Amino acid sequence: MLDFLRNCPQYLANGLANGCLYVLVAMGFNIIYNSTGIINFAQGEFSMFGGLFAYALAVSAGLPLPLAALLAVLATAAVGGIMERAMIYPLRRAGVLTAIIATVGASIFFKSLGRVFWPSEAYKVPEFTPGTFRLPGATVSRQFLWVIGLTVICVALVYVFFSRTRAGKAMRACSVNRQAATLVGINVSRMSLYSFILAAALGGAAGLISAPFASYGMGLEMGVKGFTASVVGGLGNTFGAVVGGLVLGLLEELIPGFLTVVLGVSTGYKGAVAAIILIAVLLFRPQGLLGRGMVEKV
Amino acid sequence: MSKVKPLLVLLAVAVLAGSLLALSGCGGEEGTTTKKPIKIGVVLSESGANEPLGKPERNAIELFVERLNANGGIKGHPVEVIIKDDQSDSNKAQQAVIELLEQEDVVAVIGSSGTGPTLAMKQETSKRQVPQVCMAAGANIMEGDITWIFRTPPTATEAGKKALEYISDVLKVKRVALLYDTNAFGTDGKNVVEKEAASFGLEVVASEGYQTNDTEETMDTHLTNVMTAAPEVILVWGTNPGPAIIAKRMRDKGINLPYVGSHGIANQQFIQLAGEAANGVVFPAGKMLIYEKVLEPGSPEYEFIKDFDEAYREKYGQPINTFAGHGWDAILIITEALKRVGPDATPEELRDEIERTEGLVGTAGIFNYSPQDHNGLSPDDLVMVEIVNSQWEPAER
Repeated sequence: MLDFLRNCPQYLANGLANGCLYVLVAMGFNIIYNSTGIINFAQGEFSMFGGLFAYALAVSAGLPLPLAALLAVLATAAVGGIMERAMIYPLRRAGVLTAIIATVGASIFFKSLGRVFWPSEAYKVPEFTPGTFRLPGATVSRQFLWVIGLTVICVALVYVFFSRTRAGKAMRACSVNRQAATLVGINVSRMSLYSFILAAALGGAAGLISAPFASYGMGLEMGVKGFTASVVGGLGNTFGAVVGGLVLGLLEELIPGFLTVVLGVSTGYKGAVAAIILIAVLLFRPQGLLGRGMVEKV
Repeated sequence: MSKVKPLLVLLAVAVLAGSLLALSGCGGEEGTTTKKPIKIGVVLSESGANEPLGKPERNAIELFVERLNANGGIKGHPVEVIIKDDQSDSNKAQQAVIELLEQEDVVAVIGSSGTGPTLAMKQETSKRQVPQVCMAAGANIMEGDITWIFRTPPTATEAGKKALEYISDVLKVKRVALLYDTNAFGTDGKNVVEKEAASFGLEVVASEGYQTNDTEETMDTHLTNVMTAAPEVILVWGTNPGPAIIAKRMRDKGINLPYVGSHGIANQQFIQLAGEAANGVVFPAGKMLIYEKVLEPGSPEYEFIKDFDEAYREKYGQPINTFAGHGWDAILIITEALKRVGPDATPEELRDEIERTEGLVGTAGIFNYSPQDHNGLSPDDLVMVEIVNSQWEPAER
């Protein structure tokens, strides 16, 4: 037990870093769900693009890292926009379920695309600032600060977007009642486009900072974890994603750590932790930790 | 008389024609082209997830057969390989091998690159009783009936024993922390290490699974967990990028324990991914990886690999790699057995002869098959390699 407590600062730091990635991906899920009602199964692949574009621009093309990172996020946002126009927009009359199935197809297509251009097992994206520093009881990489800092910035920017800008307010209106939003003159299909662009940018940012290792196969895990985080926080609750992501990230490190160090059960299958949390939330609190119930939507 | 004459002429013509035919037949005996070719079926993964394995394997097999036929084939019979792509898919592999066995009358098959397709093929070759030489390393291939299947690459058993031997004899430590990938490759290694550790006087004090694409932070948690067991060496069994992340985090956290890896990191990519942190990492690998440094020039193994290396470079303009080596060994094992048993051998006779393979020098080592052992290699066919200044060097003994 003492060993476990001694390890705790390290678990918390690691969980926080992973949690931040989940927050970004989960926000992407929620934003799209809010404005369109679609669960976008290609959300994880946006992270893959973020990481691989950053590798291509920073390493293959030799651009300075900050510029490469910015361009990678923009390029991923463009992928999101193109996906919406090419795949979701034409299906706007076909119903939500059809569109969700289309996103599954998009996910498979993106992954194959990633594999064609970046077939190796993994690519090393340079760290923003290499090196480590010590906290009491934990050693974290300097990248850790970037992960936390950029996540805070992203969440703040999304907040400002939704509360201060016309487009943001219009998207919120869509999430409350799409038909009413149409009646007051909001272009719902444009809001759908914006939500995909925004979600892709957030996913791309997550893939970029979660580097230094990006691979075509990373999207599935990011997608599953991000979706779990968004359900835990409350599907459709944009800022519930923050709580959901952090809770998931922390539990994923603490629970296996406890099992291994205290009970001596070495599993390391942290994927199982996410699955159990997801099922538990769906069974006992389907509206999520921050949700106010489904009544609001009716 | 006048009636007999045409008959005589006819007879003469027939005799002449017959002797001409016989002559041309004799001429054929000396050439190589008129003899019936020996057909060998090949199924490998030229596309799909195992493409990086299947492509070099095909290159090697084609080059081998080209050289073999240029030198007269097998007792004058040319060898013909019929190559099919299974797209890294078990169902397609099964379909391909059925086609080869039913339509092409092959005497043996090679395949496949990955464990799943190989198992699918094994079902068919066992049923139809045709020998199969595979290039996949999964432990479960050699479970159940192994009558008809042989393999060329070293497996987790040989590599695991080699790594444990190094930990016990060279590092002289006892407490091993094992970090393994939860994929098929890592689990094979885990089973071998946990089973064999005691026989090398070692204790596995912690054993933790991770996922190939775990983030740095998650890997850090795994490391933190195993470190509480106070190990003296970290043994990592997996394929990229996991082992590279672990190497990097160990360096970041100032963990100065020796790092022993598996043959899954015997590629340049590990060095690229781990960067500085790769230095000091030790892992088991086939001698081919650094043959110029570990084998004596003039020894049969050295000359064999050098010949392969030069021929491959000349034809494809690329250096050899492990997978090309597996392909080269697979076709070598079959054709050597054919040379011994003769070109007219039935699949049964060929199988028995492959099982009698003894002391055959290949790229992965020296092959010795027996009725009990269809893997053929031993831990001695591997060497421990250390990464020094981002280069492979023999680990000091």
